[in-house]
Amino acid sequence: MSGKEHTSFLRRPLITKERTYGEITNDVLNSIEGGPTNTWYILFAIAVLTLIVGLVVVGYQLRTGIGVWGLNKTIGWSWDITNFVFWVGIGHAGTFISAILLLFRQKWRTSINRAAEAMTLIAVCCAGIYPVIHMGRPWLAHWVFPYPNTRAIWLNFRSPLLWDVFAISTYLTVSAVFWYIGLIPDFGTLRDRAVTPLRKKIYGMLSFGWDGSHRTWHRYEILCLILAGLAAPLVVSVHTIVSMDFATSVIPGWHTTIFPPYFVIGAVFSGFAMVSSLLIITRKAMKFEHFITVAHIEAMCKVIILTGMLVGFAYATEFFIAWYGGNEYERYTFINRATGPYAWAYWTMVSCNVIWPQLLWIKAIRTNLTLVFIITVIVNIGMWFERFVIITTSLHRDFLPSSWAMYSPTWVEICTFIGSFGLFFTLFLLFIRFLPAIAVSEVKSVYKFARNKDHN
Amino acid sequence: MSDDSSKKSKADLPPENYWQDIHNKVLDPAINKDEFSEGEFDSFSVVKGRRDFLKIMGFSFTILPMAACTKGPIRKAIPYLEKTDKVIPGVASWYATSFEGVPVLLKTREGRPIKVEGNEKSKWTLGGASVISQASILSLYDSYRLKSPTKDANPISWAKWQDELQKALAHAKDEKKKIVLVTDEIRSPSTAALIAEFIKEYGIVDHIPYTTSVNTINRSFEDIVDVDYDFTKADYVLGVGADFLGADRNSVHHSKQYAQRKDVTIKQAAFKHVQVESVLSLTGSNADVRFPLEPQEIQSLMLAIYGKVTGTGINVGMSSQVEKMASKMAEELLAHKGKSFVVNGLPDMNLQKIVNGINQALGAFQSCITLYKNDHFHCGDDAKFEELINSLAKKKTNVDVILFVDVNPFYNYYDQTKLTEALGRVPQKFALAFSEDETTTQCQFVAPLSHTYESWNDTTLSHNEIGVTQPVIDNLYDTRQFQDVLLALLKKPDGHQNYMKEIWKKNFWNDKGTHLLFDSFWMQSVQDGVFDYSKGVTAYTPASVNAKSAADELIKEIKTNPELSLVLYEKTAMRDGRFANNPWLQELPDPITKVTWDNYAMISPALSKKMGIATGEMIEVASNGVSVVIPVLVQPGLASKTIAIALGYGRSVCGKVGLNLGRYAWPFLHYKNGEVSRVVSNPTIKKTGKTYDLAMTQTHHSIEGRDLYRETTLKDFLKKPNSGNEKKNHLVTMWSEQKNKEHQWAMAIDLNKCNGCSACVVSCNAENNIPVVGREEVLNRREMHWMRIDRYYKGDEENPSVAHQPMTCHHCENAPCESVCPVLATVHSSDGLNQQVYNRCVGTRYCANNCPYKVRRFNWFDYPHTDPNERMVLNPDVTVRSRGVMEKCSLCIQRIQEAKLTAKKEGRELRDGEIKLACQQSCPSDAIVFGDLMDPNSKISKMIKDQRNFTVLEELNVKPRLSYLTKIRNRD
Repeated sequence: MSGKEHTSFLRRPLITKERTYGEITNDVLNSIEGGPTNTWYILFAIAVLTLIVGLVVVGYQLRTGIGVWGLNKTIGWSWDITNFVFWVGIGHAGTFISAILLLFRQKWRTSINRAAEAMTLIAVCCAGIYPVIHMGRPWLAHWVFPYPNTRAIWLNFRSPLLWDVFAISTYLTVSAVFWYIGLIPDFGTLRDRAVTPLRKKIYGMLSFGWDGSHRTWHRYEILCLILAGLAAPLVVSVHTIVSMDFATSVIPGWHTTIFPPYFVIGAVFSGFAMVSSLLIITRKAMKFEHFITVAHIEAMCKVIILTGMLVGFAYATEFFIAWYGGNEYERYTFINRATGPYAWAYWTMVSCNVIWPQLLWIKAIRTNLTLVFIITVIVNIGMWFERFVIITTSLHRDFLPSSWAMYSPTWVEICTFIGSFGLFFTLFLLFIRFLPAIAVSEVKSVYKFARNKDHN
Repeated sequence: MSDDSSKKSKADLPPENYWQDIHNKVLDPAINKDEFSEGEFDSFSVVKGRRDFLKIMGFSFTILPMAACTKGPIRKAIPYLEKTDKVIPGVASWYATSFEGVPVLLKTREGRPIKVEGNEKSKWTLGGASVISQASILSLYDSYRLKSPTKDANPISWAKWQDELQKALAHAKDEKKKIVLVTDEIRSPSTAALIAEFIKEYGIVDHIPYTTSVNTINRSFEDIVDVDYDFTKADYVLGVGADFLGADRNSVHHSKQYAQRKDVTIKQAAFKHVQVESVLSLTGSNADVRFPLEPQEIQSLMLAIYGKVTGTGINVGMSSQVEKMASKMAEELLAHKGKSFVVNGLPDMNLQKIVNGINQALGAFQSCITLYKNDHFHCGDDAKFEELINSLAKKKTNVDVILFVDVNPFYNYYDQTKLTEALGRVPQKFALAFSEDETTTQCQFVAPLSHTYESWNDTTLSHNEIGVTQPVIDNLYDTRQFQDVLLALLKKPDGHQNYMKEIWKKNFWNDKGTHLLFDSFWMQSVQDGVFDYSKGVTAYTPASVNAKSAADELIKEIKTNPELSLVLYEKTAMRDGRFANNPWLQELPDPITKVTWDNYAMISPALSKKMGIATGEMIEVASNGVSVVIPVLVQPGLASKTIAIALGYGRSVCGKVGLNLGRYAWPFLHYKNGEVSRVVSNPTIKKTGKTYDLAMTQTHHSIEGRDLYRETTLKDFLKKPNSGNEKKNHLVTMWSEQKNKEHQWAMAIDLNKCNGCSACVVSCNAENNIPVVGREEVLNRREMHWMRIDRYYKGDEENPSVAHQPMTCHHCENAPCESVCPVLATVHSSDGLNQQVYNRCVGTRYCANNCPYKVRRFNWFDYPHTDPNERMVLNPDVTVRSRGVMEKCSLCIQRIQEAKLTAKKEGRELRDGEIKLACQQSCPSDAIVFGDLMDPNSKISKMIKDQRNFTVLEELNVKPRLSYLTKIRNRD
């Protein structure tokens, strides 16, 4: 390393450590090429065990019937759809970071977009389980797809559940493609560095014959932009449509026009919180501190403050409209939310989503990663409760007081939720074990940011 | 099989299955076991060497392909190639019969009775059925019925059993000892005649009619009389603790007349029902004015009214409030003299005599109340049974044989210790019973009774009608009806049918003008299920009612005012506990408390506050050395110093369904003045610190001021027919109306007629194969009833106004459930039905969430109908739903379809009223109307246009096809 370093006094470099491009490649890929650490094995074992718990209870539920859950004639959805929306929401940040931030040319995204996208895909997979297993007859789940059949029956295109099917499958497909295209140059690198023939073969196939020529790079860049353009509206559409599951119904507390933006903002909010939590761990575990810097976390914290306040605004708006709209049922639903038997859940939601994130205004807290980690976990707890509050408290006391009921989850529902975390972490750990958790090629492109250094 | 297991009681054994082939039948478990007992095939399991190994291998290789080549067992079913006479597959036959005093029609399909409906030919009930008669069909197929006669719990043949009975009776006759025959109350002319013959034959027979139902009025005159009330003739009715619409033998008749008086289109409802009672009963909940009073207050109130109505100076110490009440009621009763009467339902002879005195003064016995005498009416006689037990206990009598017929004193007699000791002195105890119960386990000889629907009988329904009971299915088990047992003893082996014919020929076929031949009279009567009896009845006019002396006695009695009273009562569905093994009745929410599967101690909100006891806490209620630990239910409208516990629970020997449900409360009863009293003074209550969850189908009881149930007062209604129903929403729609011009179905319920009796709920259960889910699942709020009756309280919690509102699928024109189903499993038919397609449903439950009325029911588990007997009750026209699908009221689409097909075949238009839904048919109040909106003259079209018509949650613009008519209360 030679030559004088000129660092901008206006901007901080995005990658904090002095590195050559070769060293950057080594930093990211060595962990894949070497064997996993003991910590990885331990974490993986825990994740797989949790996943097995989930599989066993889901198996039990499929065999016995959905009655093993705590639902009843009044409350037809609760933890199942809460968890579904929770996971879909988490799956928002990845595409937001990779697509929308790409379009806005936010260079800092390069260190975190790969992991965030992987998280998106995994979260959407976790979410996708719930609509299937919450069905009374999950073995007929394929009936929600429009396929030609001899019975000549078709689908109900008026049903938001059907819109969900399309929205989520589209989102999953586009996100997966986008993520995979981003991986191709790195697969090329991995192939070139491979020392065993098997590795070479696998990564060679995955890299689609990447040759690193200018033409390839050009096409790659163009494709990324196109896909970003495609994915950006999907970020908005998925949760908009998920929110319509509720907004198009007649149930007070669900039947609200504010839901689409409210849900999208909430999803970005929870997604960023989840990305922050995960990356705080990943950077430590994978020694990526100089790629994923405190500045990255800080940037995400700012998004969290903004979206958190928007979410708070949405809560206030809901209450205002419930009062202003003059509908006695809606009015009661909101009074019941704040003061009824599930008031504890409501106030947990408000404090976790609106009050605690305010601490991030303070720079000292924002840059203290332990505190940020705690706050992001709190945000996700709060966002889980938001969905629980919307779904359960609206249903449990609707129009006719004769049907009012209470809900509490059974051990099966709790274990299924824990199991979905097992699936999430199993897949995430596999991801960081076998795929580059940081986009090597993209990170190199921003290395020079705020630096003027000769790299001969 | 060890000795222990062979001695196992019948209830522990699995229900006997129908045998499918002769092997199943012949091989009982004991034989089965011998056939493959250990040791026989030992050589296969122990391979001794290479040769053995090869032998077994060779054998296996040869035998396996051979076994695989067989076709498997062939079960032969006999097709209807040669058609059975009068049985057309798929076409129902209807037979008239009756159950517990309710004339009914039984629908049978392919020989199986599957549904009970009211018999509209009856002048007495004019159609409609009660909760109990609706549910009786399930008892017919009860797997826990007794299936063969037994001696010391070992099965023996009927011939032998009869022999034993004969011997025992002959022995008693020879030894000049007593024979006691204990039966239920008897109103059957033929059975009464038969018993008379039996008594004549054996001489020393003591016949004791034993019942737990309140029949104080029947014995309150000089002679035993039967009594009919006519509500249509009355303008003012005062009910005194009388649940005449609910737990009453004549509830169907009363409901019908009561509803007629509430039909504002006919008589402008100049009808007022005032009720005084301690426990909020179904009847009380319908009263125009109701006062919750302590049992003693009721006594003083009635004394005061008696004094005022008859002009006798009676001075009882009472609160000014009661005094004021008395003046008002006396005034009103007198104002309607000749058109007013008092109904008492409390087992208190002195009180009853005072009520008789009031009624006589009002001239009610000449107008609204018909008293009549019957030779064949054997009224339940507590005194006679008490005397038997006492004399046995004191060894004063010498009873050799006792025969219990369909009674269960070992369950419902108040002093089991005394009863066991007394009856222990009877050497030979015989019981004829429907299923194993507390009494059969105490008897050496037990024989199974046929179900009413397997028997011939007749019964007095009223002063002008006799009902016929005919068998609609052959005996399912080796059972006999009681009458046939007696006939065999009397050496008349022709059966009760022939005996009945004899009696009828002698007594009833006097109207030769209509029927020249007896056979034609017989056929007609059996076909109709009822026949006119007005000519045979002896009207009874009481010479003197002895009210004055009763009043004097009562004044003495009520000197002390207890701090607390315990009132024992019977629930509408469970009654005295004889139907405990009927899951439909157990799961039917009590019309008032909405609790299923349990009894409980009801306390008033005031007492709850005073003692700091809430619903679900367990308390110990004790009195006279009897105590029970029981959960509390805080019941609005209960008299403030009263605790009420339902009888009919805590069965200790019963089928699986009813066993040990609820708590045993019979020991609180006590014998007083010739009858068993149901009021206990000054019980003690103690908190236990334990809690218990009561399975309720409705846990929130206030309507929260919501505009869901509309009501008005009669005064306002007369001024303005749409009073209480002024609010109309301005609704707009984006959709063009696309209606099939042929039919548009709709339903309307007159809330003024509906009294909440819940017969419709059971009827719907039976018609639509609705599964019973059990207490745990009701606690989980997952009951499956398609129809429910919402009950709300309004106003003062010590004396609330009660609203009953039947709720079922509203078949909305803009159904919110339809738009949200992703797979089109719920769709709208062209004739306006919201249809659920079970096959297509994947079970997202979105439709149920989006239903504003919450009437959709989900199959959380598989609710299999695996009991081979119970399966027979299933309606073959209605799909049995599998796990994971949504279901709900279909407006009995099978009935609509059937009627449409019939009309088409006959080449005519459907007639209005031709289709009757299951709920509608059973409704004893005719509150439910169903019909075609496209017919402007149909009853439903008129009801929709009625000024009282409203829909629930109209502002949602879902356009429900179920609408209601406002409730009108005759109060200030």
